[in-house]
Amino acid sequence: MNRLIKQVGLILLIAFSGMMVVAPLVFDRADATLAYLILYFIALASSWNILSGFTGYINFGHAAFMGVGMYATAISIADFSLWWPVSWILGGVFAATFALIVGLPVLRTKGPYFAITMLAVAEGTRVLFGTRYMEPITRAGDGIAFSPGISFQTKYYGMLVTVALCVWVSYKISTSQFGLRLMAIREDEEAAESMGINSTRLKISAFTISAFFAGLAGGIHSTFLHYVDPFHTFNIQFTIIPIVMAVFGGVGTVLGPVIGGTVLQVLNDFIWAHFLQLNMAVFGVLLAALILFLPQGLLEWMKEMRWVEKTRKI
Amino acid sequence: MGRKDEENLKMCPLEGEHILQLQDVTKCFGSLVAVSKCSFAVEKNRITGLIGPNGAGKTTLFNLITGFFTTDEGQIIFKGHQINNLRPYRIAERGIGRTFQITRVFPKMTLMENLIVAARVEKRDERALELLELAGLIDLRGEYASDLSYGQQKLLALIRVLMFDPDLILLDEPAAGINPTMQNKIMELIHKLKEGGKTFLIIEHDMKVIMGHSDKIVVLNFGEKIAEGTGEEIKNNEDVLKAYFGR
Repeated sequence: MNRLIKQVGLILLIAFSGMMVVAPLVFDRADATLAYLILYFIALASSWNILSGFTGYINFGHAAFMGVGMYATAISIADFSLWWPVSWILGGVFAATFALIVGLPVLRTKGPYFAITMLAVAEGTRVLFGTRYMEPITRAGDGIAFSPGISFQTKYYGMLVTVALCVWVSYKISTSQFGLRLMAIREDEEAAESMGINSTRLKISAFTISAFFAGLAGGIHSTFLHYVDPFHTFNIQFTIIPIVMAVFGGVGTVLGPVIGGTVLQVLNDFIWAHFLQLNMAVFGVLLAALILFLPQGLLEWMKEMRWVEKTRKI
Repeated sequence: MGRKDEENLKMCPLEGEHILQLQDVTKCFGSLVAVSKCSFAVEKNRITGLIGPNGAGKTTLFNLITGFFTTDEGQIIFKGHQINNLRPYRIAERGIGRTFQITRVFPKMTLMENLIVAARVEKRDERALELLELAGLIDLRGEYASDLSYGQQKLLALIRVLMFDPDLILLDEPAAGINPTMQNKIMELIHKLKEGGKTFLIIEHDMKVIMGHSDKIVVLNFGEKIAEGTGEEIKNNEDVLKAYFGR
């Protein structure tokens, strides 16, 4: 029975991956856009998971890295006319650099203090990008409208590759000594330090990798939107929704954010289509129910039921 | 390890066979003097016991040696290098391992993962299995550490320290709160490791437990060292009896 369920899981994963690969070729534009948004949110949830899932440092400012990536890509195309693949990667590079600078002081705080500090970092970044002083670079509140001149399919596959890379990196982390050490920080940072684990260096590494993928996904998404402005770019929903997705699927796992991102984005789309006013309310209720009934997430629960093999590889 | 850090460490003369030396170590928390001008040495390849009543400063001293607290005054010298005020992971890298009074295993990691994560040795999987075998936990290797009993967690914490092969091992009440069979098992393991060349500094609240196992005992009271010597000497020391029994 359990073996059967395990095989069903594998088949579902292969079918899902296959569907995501062919989606823009066979689906109509609306469904292909949904598939694209699923990928986008998986990228955000999975990259959030690289820091917060493995080390337990709950990052409430992930939108900041996404936003910095969006601006980097938008500015490099609008003002410097860079080739789009370069500007996408610049989105990741700028976000990672930003994380490296912010991380040094911020990762000294722990627990709720870290969460609140990151919230402040994200809000501060939003305000900074919208000030008059930054107008020559960011156009302040007006935002930047630009046309990257690339097809939907190109953006779609760019996002798919980003997701694949991010999940592959999560897998590599989860099955390595580096990943075990991140988990040791989550479990007991002092005990980890007492056996020679340099927690500061590890946390900053995970933070930077996490920010790189958020920035890369943000950069690609800015070419999808053709527009960035401080309010939409640094909106806290781009922090909250990926967190709910990762928690729903399973924090600190490889495929948890993929499952959470897919299920919740499909659900979100359904709610948008049928009960628009309830949109965020449903997310709120879902989050409360999750913490009550499935605090460890869907995937960990399935592992405990022995429906899925109990391994760090999944 | 950066070269700069290496240069910053003052070279100090190594005295005899002492692996660890404390010189006038003092630590205050506000107006409370937790450790006051404490000096003693730990001899290589020996078991040194550290005893004293509640609040004597034993655990504070451990936290000073392992870098969790910074010293206010005095020096801590390990293998000829001053180590006070280094970060805890740097001190661990130099070869000091420790356990905690309240056992701190990584609960949501398996026993194998608990061990491998600390590894600095070659063939870490083989070494982990070897240690699990030694501690009698081999059959539980795939379980989460949170599923172990308290005594088993203590054993796990002890063998976890061995994964990065420290020369000096600090144990904070390794025998407290567990049954006599498990206590004997832990003490047996400690003696076996001593024969293999390890040095131990052990905090123990219960005098009876530590007497038979230590080569030397240091007694603390109100943050001050009040006696130092063999078990026999300590047993007959007036100050120690006063501190323990109020005589």
